[in-house]
Amino acid sequence: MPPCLKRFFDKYEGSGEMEKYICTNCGYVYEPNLGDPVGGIPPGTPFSALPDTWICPVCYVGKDLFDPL
Amino acid sequence: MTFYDKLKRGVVLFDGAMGTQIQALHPSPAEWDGRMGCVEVLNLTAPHKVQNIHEAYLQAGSDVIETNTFGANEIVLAEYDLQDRVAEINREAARIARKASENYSKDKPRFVAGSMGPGTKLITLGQTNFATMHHSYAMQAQGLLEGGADLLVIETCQDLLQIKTCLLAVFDTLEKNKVDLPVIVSVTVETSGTLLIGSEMAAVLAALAPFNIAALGMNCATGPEHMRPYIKQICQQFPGPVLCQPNAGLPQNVGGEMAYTLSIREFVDVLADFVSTEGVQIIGGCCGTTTEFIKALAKRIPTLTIADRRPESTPSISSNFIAQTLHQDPGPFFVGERANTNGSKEFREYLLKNDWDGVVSVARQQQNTGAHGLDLCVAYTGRDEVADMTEAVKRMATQVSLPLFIDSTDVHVMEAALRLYGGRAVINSINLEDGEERADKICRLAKRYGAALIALTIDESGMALDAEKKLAIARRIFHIAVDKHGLRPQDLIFDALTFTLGSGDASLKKAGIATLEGIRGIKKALPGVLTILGVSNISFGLAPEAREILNSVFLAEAVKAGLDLAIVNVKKIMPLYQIAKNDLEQSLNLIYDRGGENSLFEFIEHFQKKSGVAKKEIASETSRSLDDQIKQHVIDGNRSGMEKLLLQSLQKKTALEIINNLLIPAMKTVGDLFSSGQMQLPFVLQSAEVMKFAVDKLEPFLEKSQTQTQTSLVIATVRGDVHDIGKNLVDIILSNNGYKVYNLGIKCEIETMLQKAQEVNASAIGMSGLLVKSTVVMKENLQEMQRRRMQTPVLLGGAALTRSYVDDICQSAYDAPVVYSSDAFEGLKTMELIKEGKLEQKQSYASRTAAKKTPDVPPEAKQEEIRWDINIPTPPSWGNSIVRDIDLDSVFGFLTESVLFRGRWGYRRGKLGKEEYDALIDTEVRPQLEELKQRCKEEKLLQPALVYGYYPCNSDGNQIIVYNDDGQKEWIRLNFPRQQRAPFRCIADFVLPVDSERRDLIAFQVVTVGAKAMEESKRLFQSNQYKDYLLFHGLSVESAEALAEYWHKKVREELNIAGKDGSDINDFVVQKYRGSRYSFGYPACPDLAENRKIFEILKPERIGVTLTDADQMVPEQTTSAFIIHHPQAKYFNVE
Repeated sequence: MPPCLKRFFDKYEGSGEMEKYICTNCGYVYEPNLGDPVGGIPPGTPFSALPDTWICPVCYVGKDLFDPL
Repeated sequence: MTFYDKLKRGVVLFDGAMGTQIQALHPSPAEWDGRMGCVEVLNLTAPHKVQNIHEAYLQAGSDVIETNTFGANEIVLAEYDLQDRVAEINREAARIARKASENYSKDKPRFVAGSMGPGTKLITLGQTNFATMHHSYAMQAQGLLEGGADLLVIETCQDLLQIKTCLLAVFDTLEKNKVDLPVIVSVTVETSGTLLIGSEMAAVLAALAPFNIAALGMNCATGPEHMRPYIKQICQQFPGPVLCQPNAGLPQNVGGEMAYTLSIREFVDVLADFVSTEGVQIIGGCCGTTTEFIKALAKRIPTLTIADRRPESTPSISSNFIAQTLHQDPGPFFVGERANTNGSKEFREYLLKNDWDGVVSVARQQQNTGAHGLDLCVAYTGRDEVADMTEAVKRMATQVSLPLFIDSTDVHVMEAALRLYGGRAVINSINLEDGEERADKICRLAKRYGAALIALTIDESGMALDAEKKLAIARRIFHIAVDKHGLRPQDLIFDALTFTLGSGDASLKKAGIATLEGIRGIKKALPGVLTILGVSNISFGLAPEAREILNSVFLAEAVKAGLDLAIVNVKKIMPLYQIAKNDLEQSLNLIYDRGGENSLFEFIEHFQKKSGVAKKEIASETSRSLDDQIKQHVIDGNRSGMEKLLLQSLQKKTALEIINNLLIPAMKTVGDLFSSGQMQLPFVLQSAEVMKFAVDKLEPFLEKSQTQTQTSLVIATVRGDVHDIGKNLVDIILSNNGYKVYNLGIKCEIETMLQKAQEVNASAIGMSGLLVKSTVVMKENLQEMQRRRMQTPVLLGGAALTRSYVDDICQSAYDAPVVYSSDAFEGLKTMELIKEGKLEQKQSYASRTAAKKTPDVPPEAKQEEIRWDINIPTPPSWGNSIVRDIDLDSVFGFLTESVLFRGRWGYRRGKLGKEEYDALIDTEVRPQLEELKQRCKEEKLLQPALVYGYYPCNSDGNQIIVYNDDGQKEWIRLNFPRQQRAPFRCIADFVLPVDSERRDLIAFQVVTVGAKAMEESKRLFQSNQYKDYLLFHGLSVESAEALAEYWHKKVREELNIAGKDGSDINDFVVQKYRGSRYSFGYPACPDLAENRKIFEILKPERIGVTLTDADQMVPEQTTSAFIIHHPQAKYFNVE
């Protein structure tokens, strides 16, 4: 999310780019504000920007098993 | 020079990013005034810093600088407790920019643009309301005006309703101050191609067209190239200047930080192209752009000529999402009439019960029936129409994609609706029945909110009957609306009124002709206006069948006369070619009053006779709709009435024709709906059930010779693996799409598969499996098939497979196509290719990517010392015990709904809006869960049982030694792998080493929900209750997980290490509790074979659990685990 809006929407959850995604296999929730340290993903990375090879840090399934929360 | 003048003189250069420039100056804490992040406060505390930034851009060449007021509206500033200084901040900001621009005005005129950002609340989602937002922006506009802004820019817009509200606040302020400042609107289009709220560019253009906007454009979100298609659209349709202020590309991850990396060169090249090819006139930069960008643009501008544009647009209306042109070709524009208390009993009943979901559903139902827009009327005596309209429009704004026609006689109701609707609505309607005063009010409303307006040809003397009167009234209304109130001709939609020809009233015999003449006359005399009719009035009083035909014929005639829109029940309109010749003739005779005295009588008689006459004619209509009914039953998953329809259909078609021409295409539609995210798996299975039911009913009617050679698949779960739901879903989907499936079950040897394949001459073989081990078995199976020189294509499916493993490793073992199927529908596509002979073998490359990326070790895991100054818990007893009478409700309490609903059951949110998805869960999914839970309890379908125990232990290198209950004798050693890189972890590290003087403690558990679950699953599958099969199977598997979770907690309680449990699964990931549970097969201890040892220790055969020779537990709904109590025990990966 661009900086000019980021400062507004940190409070506003779950719309468009900063939407959280849930792993439908184990329930892990990817939060863009937090990123994924296990996978080397910095905070602020929207789900759509995660590489295709990214996998769930808990159960290791791929992006296609994730669903917007 | 005013900014209007500037707009007449070539390219205009705005400035670049403000926010980053300010942050780069590192304002001091005093300057932030305790409001870190609120850059707007710096206008008061550090005006010189702000001025410096402006001057830097002016020096770089900007014609226009934007004030530092992006978030300076009341709603946002209230969050920083600055709500009392809104006007002041805006004034100061404008003054600072004014001052800066005065220092640079010698060489060329400079302008100050008041920046107005979208703020923190999305009004379409109800996070604020019109009054609050209007007030908030009005205050801001006032301040900017007073501070000396030359123009106002409403930018980074994400919500159509916000744009309109802000525009109104701005225009109201300008009017109050009696000034005319240019107002620019700039929207942000996300990478999805719409505004954040979901509006397509066409909807934006339609909604904003009626407003006096000095320029329209886009800023933010992406770099320039991404904006191209939308910039093009604006340039093609918006009559005024177009603006473009992109970001310096899409944010990229550079060394752990997000950065904008588009080169200045490319940025400038694309913007220059937009100017000289598309005709953009105003350029600048948003996030990530600096004075360097502006300098480069300034340098390029003198070389550019703005492309000539001839913008054109057709009168349109819109919802929040899409636009619709008012004149459709072929016409007419259909307005659905069912969301009306007077028109639909269903709608009325929902309204009276305050069932708003029901109310919305009636609107939504009309969406797929061919309607282009929907009429909405909630008037009902005794109810509060404003409140009802508010509830209805609030929801429909986000849940209905078609534009709305606000149908009311009450101005307050109309306004309430318009204040909730970002799209361009139509007001239905005005007339002159009570003179001009009310018409004035409504015209003002339409003008203010940019709505279109339906006008009825009724005046103080009543409804106009003849064509001349209709035209006269239309002229009067035109004059009021256009000349007096400034509406445009295309904002007006005239209704020339329809009177019934079915009453026998002599004075109305020519009413049909008069209406048609009226339409012609109005279109001719008032060019640009549109016309509408409530078509069904023409046949009021006649029998239903006659009505449908007369309505359809009259509609066709009206469209010929120039009718643009029609309010109808869309499902009941028939195209002319479907109407029998003599029905058509009778209708035309009636409409044109050709039959003399008896035309109505003949008409009625004709239709009465029809019900007895030529079955053939009727049949051709009913069998067409019969076909559609059959298909629709499959698509809707609706079994009731299907048998009757099939039997009816068999009178005209053969069983094979029904299957091939109706049922299979219907299933194909289901597949398409699933793939496009419009239908979820459980609904697909319901459709498949109906399909199966239908085919079974038709089977006796199939001639033996007609059972064609179908393309067939032999499918099985491989050796050692009992997992079958994936395979069974493939079976269900393929069999119900016309393929023959030979399902060989689980734990299947390759020999069995190949024998069957040969026996039936299978077109393909499918292998399925859950375990990682099974992927190896599949490869071995392929090697065997290669050895026998087979050529049959193979489909592979399974949770542990990856596309690259299949494409590379498996494909390279076999010389015919090996295809990865991620789900049943991908498998279906592959079978279709096989059927058509088009399946090609992929080249197998040497693996370019690792089979599965393994996560890195989190940095904080490095160099952690394991501490042993901890207490070793004391168990209630040593050794193991069996627990049987476990309360199912306690187990259900640990279900992870999100995994059950989205993962096992397939109810994903996908593209649904949040409210829509929540509604689905509440109305459909959760009730199913409750019902199923109840059944499980009553019929004892799930019988939780477990064995668990506590044992003394120690670690010895990479092994955990388990002792007998008395702790004396070594009994079993568990082996664990160690990480090959820092921090070189091994689970055994968390257990007290053998050379210490004490014994440590380890707990084991094997939990199951019982064999009955497997039996019930099988029974459901075999009796073709596909959906129930999916639901029950999913619940049983998740219940096993829930039981493991429940018992794990019990164990921690018994050991007194329960403490504070994190309640969401993310806590489990980072182990916020003590006592980690591990299962063999997972990343820290991947060797499934170690399960054998747990079996030796706990002997779960006593509760009916066994191991296959591939070490998979049976029944499937079983999990095993061991628990390490050490506080530092974590999950990690050893690969």
